[in-house]
Amino acid sequence: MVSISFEKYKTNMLYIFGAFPPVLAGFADGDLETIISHWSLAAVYGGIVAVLLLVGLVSVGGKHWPMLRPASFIALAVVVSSATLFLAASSISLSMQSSAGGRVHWQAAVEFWACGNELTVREPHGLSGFVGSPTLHQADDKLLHYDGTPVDSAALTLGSFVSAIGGQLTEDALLVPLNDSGYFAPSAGSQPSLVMNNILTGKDGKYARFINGQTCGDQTAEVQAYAYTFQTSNNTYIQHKLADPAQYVPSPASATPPGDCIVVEFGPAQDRTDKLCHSYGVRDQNRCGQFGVAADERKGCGLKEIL
Amino acid sequence: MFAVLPHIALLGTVTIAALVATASPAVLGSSVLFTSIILGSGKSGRRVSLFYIVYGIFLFAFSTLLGTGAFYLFTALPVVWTDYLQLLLGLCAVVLGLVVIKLYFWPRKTTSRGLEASLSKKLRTYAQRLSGPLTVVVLGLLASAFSLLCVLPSYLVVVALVQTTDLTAPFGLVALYSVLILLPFLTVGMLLVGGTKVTTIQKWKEAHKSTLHLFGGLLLIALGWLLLLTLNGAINLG
Repeated sequence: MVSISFEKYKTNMLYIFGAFPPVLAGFADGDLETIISHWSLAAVYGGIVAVLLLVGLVSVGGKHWPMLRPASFIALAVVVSSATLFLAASSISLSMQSSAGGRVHWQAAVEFWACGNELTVREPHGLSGFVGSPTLHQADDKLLHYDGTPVDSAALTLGSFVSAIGGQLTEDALLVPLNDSGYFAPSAGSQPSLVMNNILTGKDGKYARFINGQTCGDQTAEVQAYAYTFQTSNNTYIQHKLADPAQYVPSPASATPPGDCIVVEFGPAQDRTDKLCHSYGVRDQNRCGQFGVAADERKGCGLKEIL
Repeated sequence: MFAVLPHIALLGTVTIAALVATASPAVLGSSVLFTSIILGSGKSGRRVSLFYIVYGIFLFAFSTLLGTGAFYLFTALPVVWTDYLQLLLGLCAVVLGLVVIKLYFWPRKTTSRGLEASLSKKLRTYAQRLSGPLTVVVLGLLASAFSLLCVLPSYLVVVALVQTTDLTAPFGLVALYSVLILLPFLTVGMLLVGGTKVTTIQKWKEAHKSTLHLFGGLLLIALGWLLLLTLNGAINLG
């Protein structure tokens, strides 16, 4: 009787499929998921063209040359099988290298603020319904969505997310893509005039750009970010200022909370922010009233911030 | 906007998959067979209506239950198992697609008339043994089970695709699929009730069988690829 342990099996599989990504990496730039994504789409597009050509060939010449039918079918089977094996192998490769063991849907709430004004990130256009990549995107809901198989934490950072939606986040600069109108979400105390000079027009549309040293009114401002992280055990959350916002990896969670609330803010230097994401605010026992929860509906306001 | 747009691609996929999968020679053939048995029993009007009501209710109920159950199974399993199960589904869909598409490239010399005649004889004998509404109910049940069996591979892939999205309740899409797969069967039935001859429909089916196989095969390959592309993160249906 042949027996094989799961660990040995997994090691063997890693050996086989582990060679797969480096081979691909030799042909394209980017993280593993991006590379696999590009090559997978290329394989499928190629497959579709080949299948259509072969079907067309048989439709036109199948009656005149009987041998064309079996020959075309064999060619089609080879093309389809090759593309399919590539897709399957890439999925297995990703799963085996993933810390989560497979495909996940994680999200975190993200808000962008500048000089007391909440910026409205550019909304999705077209049928895709989201801005960003299939893996990392936002969908007009102020949420960072990660739909994929996490392999490299570098692909999951806040900086990667901002890049994916067409912006930029570094230690000293913030660039946020905006709609052509309606740059700001309605909020108490907002003063759009303070940041109108930061709104520019690029080849993809409007965007807001902030650089450390610019001012909010008469105060020198800088790019800062804060993360609220949730403690499931006692229904509390805590705020901390991010030392390196671009490299921050949000907590893995499929809903918010317990997913993080991240506030990226351009304003005078401060250790804490008074901004809070809507999904946290409507559950906070002290602040849910401010977030529009009626007095008789505050039973669900059970979260507490640990100061 | 978030609630609607991301799911348009998924909605399109579900609609096309349901219509192409169920417009198969097998489903159309079974529609001709069952309707002609009911019509052949003489008391047409109410019996035909009852048959289609029973068929519709059973197929919708079975399909919805199966789809919802499969969705929650995919959701409840550990993520690794779900991934590999869906991968296997995608691979099976492509292999089955190649088997079906082979009938377009390499058509069988024989027709399915012989098999249909044999099945028809057995069903007619069975139908004669039963009487009244029970016959109609049993035939409706058999027809719906057969229809569901024909669309099962593509249906499971569609459910897996729905599960990969951020939809937490699949009922709307599963119900849509379940309604759409009724249409080809009902259309053929209505044509027969409306006076179209059985032989006319059978001739049409035989003449277009290879094309129907082509579309059915292409659909399975496309669905398999869609699922595999979703699993490796190349696309996102919502």
